[in-house]
Amino acid sequence: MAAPTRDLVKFAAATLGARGAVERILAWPGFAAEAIDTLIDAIRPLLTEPVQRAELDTLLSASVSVTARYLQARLAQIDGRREDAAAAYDILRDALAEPEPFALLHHARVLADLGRTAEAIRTLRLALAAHPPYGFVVKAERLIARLFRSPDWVPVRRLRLALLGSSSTALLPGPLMAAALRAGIALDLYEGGYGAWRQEILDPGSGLHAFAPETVLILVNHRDLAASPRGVAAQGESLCRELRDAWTALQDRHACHVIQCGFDLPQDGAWGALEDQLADGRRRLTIQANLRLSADLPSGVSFLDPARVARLSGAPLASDEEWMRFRQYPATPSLPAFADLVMAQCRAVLGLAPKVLALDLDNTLWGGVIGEDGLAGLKLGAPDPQGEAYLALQDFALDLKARGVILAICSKNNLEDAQAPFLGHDAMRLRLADFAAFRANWDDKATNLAALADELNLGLDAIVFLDDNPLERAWVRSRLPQVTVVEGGDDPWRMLQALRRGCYFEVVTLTAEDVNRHASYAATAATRQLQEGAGSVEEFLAGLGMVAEHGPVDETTLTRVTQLINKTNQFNLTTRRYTEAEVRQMAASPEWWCRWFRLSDRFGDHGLIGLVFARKDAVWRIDTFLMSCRVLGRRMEDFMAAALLTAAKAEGAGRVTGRYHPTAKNGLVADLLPRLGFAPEGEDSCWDLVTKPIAACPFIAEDASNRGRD
Amino acid sequence: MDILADLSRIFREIFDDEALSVTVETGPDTLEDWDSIAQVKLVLAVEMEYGIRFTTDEVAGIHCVGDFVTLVNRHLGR
Repeated sequence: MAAPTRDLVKFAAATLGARGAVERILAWPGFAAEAIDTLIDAIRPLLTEPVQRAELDTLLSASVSVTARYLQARLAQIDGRREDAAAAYDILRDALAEPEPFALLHHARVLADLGRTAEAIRTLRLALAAHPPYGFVVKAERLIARLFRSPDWVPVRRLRLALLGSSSTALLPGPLMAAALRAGIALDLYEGGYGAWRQEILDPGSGLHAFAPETVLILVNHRDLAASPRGVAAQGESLCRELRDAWTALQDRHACHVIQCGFDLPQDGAWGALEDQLADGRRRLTIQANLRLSADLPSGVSFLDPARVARLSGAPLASDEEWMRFRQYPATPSLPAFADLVMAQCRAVLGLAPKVLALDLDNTLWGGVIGEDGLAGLKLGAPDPQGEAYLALQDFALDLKARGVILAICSKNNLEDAQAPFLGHDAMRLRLADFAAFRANWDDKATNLAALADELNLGLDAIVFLDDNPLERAWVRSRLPQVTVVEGGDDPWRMLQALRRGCYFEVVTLTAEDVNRHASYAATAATRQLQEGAGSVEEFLAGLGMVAEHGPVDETTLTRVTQLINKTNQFNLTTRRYTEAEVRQMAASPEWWCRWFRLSDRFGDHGLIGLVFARKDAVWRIDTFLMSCRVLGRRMEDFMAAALLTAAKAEGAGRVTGRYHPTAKNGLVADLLPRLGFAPEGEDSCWDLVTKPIAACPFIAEDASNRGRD
Repeated sequence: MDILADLSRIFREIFDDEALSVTVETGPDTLEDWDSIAQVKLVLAVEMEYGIRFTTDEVAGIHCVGDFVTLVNRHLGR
């Protein structure tokens, strides 16, 4: 029997009375917070009546059902006993294998009322991870807005996002804030006037320009094409041209990223198949307008396809009903997925997207338990439908790897058993070489994921974890809240769908480093092993055969450079963030020295992994000095400093100075400048080029083939 | 069935106010946060609560909690 519904609860209350309804529902299997909330309405009269209340409390204490725990929490909340309520919700959360969004919402509300902001946010993020419907957002958005304003929240990043639309954007902030909260981003939102995207962009005095957006979302819909069944070609062409001009105007002024929404397809029209078949058919022209927008996108613009949102949410964006009743587009059922995709693109642009997919093995990548069922007993591939679903999941993981997502294994297994299918099962798509890290042992998964992050030199927030076992998921959720746990149940098809729906690894540009990332991380793991065998650090570094080069930032490196600037948190002296347009301006300016650094070693090419930007003057001032964490501990920073000092000296500078700007994450480089040999000078560190010679890094040879491009 | 109790719950959640209680007279004049955006959310939430759909005309004619009660009763055939 399924969980109780609202109607069932109301029926029980009407026929059995309040007390009888409670008894009946407590005995009902399953749990649904929203339905139980209607039960609370029914028992409200009992709450203030001492004898009946005492009986009710006894009844709840005696019951072992999850529903009783929820009722106890809710009643404590209603009584104003917030500490009791929070404790009861904790018990409830731990008793439920899968997150129940509406229960978690009440839980978060109590925590917020208690001033426990960080816990309230963590609780809401748990709820949002289950992708609740728009009805959840409606109930949660006030609370989310309240938490957004709390001084206790330390977001990963703040983002100024402007919403411009050809229709109202009034319902977008709620879902967008929910999606941002899930991503750890604090949104500062600006909403343009109703339908006034042109005026906002063209009028230099508009609120948009005063707001100075970092990202602009432009929302259009099929009605803007003034579509009749036939003949909107001219309209589509001119509108698309206008939009493309608008991107340029926006970027010239604000160096911002633009997310351009495409046109949704209208609901079915009277001309049937002709709307697809005729050269000037409505649907055909709408699709052509989308192609016009998405083709040859300039850098700093990404395309958001309404059809993708519809597939993720299972709801079309264009609904005549919602348009007629509320002038609402996108239709509200599609809003959570729409917002998730918008935030996923923002995250991709900011370089904040997760980097690793950590996978369980048994009943996640194949059906069955390898240690018990053996190779022959695994469900994998045709003709078993579920076996095919596991392969689809493997293919999805392989596709992710091909564009830069790191794959890792985290499984409770004997290593030999865990590896057997990769080596000996013909149907397997994934191979051992596809994984940058492979942890199969009997330690708990939280410990293993932490070790995995360490091995790959990444933060826990870079990990997305997929496991069919609800207990393992719950364990990781409770132990490592920074890790993203995919809530996809235990069916391979559902797990795949949850991976898609989560938009975790959304990507809007592709760099050479993305394609090669796997090799580089695999090299990191191999390097760790070499490190263990080497006698001394110097011996180890000398054995790596490192070769580095550096060159000026130009159009070919701009995307990767901007990516590094915005996502490097740990080895980053100043943590200054710049948009692509800003970097372009700096790189072109004679007042700046903007260099990228590449490193390769005998394990592979790490690609473009470091940046040094300095403002030139009589004294050169270090503006940015950062390095990707995948090449930590190789003295690459010595090489970068030497290159900077050499260039400054060659151009006649007397000194180079810099200053450490502390953040929550960059403690690693607190003493970087002194360590490199810079002398402390107040808050600054300084290198006197006249008196102090520059030492080359002894472990890294320079490849000067690019120097000609200076 | 106590529609007013359901509506109170919905209002409490949407307005994030555990102490909020509504009467049939409650409307945009007496509840400061009840603006046109909140109205859309309220309509959607009430529809979801009862699994009903208001017509365009009905949506336009909602000016107080009492209007919701009347509409819900009409849609539930009472």
